[in-house]
Amino acid sequence: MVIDLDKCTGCASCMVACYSENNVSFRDEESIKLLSINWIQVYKITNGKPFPDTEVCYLPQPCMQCDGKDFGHPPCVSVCPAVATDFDTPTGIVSQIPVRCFGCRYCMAACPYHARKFNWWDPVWPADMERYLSPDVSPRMRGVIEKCTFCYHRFQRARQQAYYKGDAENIKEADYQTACTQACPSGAITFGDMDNPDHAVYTLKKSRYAFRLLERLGTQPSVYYLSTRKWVHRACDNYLEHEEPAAFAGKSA
Amino acid sequence: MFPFAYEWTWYFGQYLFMGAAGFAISVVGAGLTYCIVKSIIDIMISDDHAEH
Amino acid sequence: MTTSAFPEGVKRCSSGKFILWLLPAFLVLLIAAYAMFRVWFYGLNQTNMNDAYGFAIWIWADLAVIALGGGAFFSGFLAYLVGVKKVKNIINFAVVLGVVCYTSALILLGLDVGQPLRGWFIFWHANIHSMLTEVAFCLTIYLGVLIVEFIPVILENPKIQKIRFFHHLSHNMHEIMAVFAATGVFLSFFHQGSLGGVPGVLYGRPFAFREGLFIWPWTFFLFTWSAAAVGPLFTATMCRLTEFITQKKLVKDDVYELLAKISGWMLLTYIIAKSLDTIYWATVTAPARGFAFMDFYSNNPAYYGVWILIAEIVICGFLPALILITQKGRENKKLLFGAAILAIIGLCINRWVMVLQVLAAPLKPFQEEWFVYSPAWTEVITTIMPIAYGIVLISIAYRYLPLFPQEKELNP
Repeated sequence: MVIDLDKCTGCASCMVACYSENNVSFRDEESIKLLSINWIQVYKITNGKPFPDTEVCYLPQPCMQCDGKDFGHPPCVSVCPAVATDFDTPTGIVSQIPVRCFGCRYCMAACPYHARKFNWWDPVWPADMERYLSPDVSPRMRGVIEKCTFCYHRFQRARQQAYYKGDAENIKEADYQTACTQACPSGAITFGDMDNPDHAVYTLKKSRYAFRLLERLGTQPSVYYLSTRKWVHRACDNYLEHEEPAAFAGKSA
Repeated sequence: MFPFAYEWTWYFGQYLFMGAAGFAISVVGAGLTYCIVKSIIDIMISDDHAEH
Repeated sequence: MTTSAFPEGVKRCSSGKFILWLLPAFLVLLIAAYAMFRVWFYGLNQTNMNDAYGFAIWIWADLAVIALGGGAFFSGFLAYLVGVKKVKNIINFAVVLGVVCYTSALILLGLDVGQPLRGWFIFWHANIHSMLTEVAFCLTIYLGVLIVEFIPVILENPKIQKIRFFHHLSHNMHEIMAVFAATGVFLSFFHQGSLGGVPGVLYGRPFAFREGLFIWPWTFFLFTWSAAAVGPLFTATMCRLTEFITQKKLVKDDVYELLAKISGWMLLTYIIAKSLDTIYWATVTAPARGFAFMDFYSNNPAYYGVWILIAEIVICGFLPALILITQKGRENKKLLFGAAILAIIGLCINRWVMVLQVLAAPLKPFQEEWFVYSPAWTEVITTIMPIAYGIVLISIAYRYLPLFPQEKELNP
């Protein structure tokens, strides 16, 4: 996935689409954000300068679907004691199996992106909303972890359709798109197979201005961000005082 | 669900881990069994001595 | 003549006084039982944990109580495997303390998980690469070993000894105790270490992450070492407390001094290793990820200021170690137990730092605030519960079982 931060307006349609697609639960009282569940979260970041030099950027952050150090070992997968989360090698997606999870929250401690959320309560759907839930994604019970799955159920549907068409290995870019990608009105989110030259993300990820969140931790995220603004690069990773983001090394802001 | 079902693959790491755990349990179990059996034998021996 | 329920040759207070002594502990246990019901019935929303603080005071209490219970395995190692006979005078007490510590840890773990009824998944669907799996297996098997070590002590009660089978069983178990002790040492080495591995493998959390040896981060060895060093000090301190409460001398001073000497040297070598590890982490590991040392210590002195590092390593590390390695330090009982208490506090600080400070420190530069946590009443009362439970179990064990071989001699 590639997210262009210069295009994101912070509208959070991606968040709403994700809630709807994946039956993410919510409560009456949502003021404590650390108890809220969301699979993609839009952050507002600023360059910290006073007016008139203030700049703002909106950063949607789903699960990074990390490849991990020594490809195949995301920080959250090796620590799960019950194999409730696993790395799928062909797609690079980190799965989450709510019925296997017994809620030890070790993966939540391991994730540096706070991408994993815990169900502190059982979901309570208002009125007859249960009838409008998406049938492809099971709702989660209290006491288990959940996180963004890159709409894996859509991948399964696309793979099934490709199989019936007789071409199981070839899933077209348009056949498998995540809900957040489709909902984004400014086209800031692009989704596809990063190893397939026919897909848009293949070219986008090679951009000079592409970077990944907290890249220096060695998590190898699958989500790339694009921004021509140096302060945005600086805000998305940790640097010592004398260090510069790679895209701008040797260049002034 | 069972480790003997087709989707489960045993590999070296699991043999090592489960082997070590099993070894520790076996040692404790064997020790306890030895103690219980020996205690029963000791009672039988002391019964014999009492009779004679 | 009826056999007394009390061990031979020792005096015990009246039952009325005993029950009165236990009443406050029972009250705490009652309130804790209600808290446990609330957590198990309504869920973890009854605590103050949140998505930033997935691990909180219960995990800290688990780590601390297991490390302090390490006195059982290390005393067993000294007494049965190395052959330090003096330690045999305190080993029974160490085992009882170990049972208290490990059962408390398992109860707290049962409370802490979101789906306790699925707890067996950690055994049946085990991911052997996870440090927590290793912890669960070793903890459970080791609790079994501790109970096996506890059984002969229980069987020593005079009324139980009258039953021939139990008389022979306790004798035979004592004979092969070295086998159980050796298994206990093997298991303890791994689970104390894996508890250190829990934060050490988190390469997404630079504050916790450590390089290491093969699959084991340095924190693996540091945790085992500190548990072996401070565990016996905890046993000795609790024994001294028991003496204070019962107003009886239970163990000769030379036993305390020997344990203190061994612990002192282990503590000194541990704190040197810990200091070297911290320096390497601060100068190599963290900067490679873009973090300066002070990024992990907050500007708010009341909350994770640098004082916590100084407290852990200097005041509660080097200071008690240097006291305990000197003979004068050990002969002066106030100094000895003062140093022991400091070491225990240092161990607790270390476990707190490796779990809670890890989660408090912000990682994303655009999320600069430190995450704040304070425990809810349900968490606090259930964390105090092991103390009340320990008082009850140790009191009953002391009253009815010959825990201290030297008690009769020291109280004619």
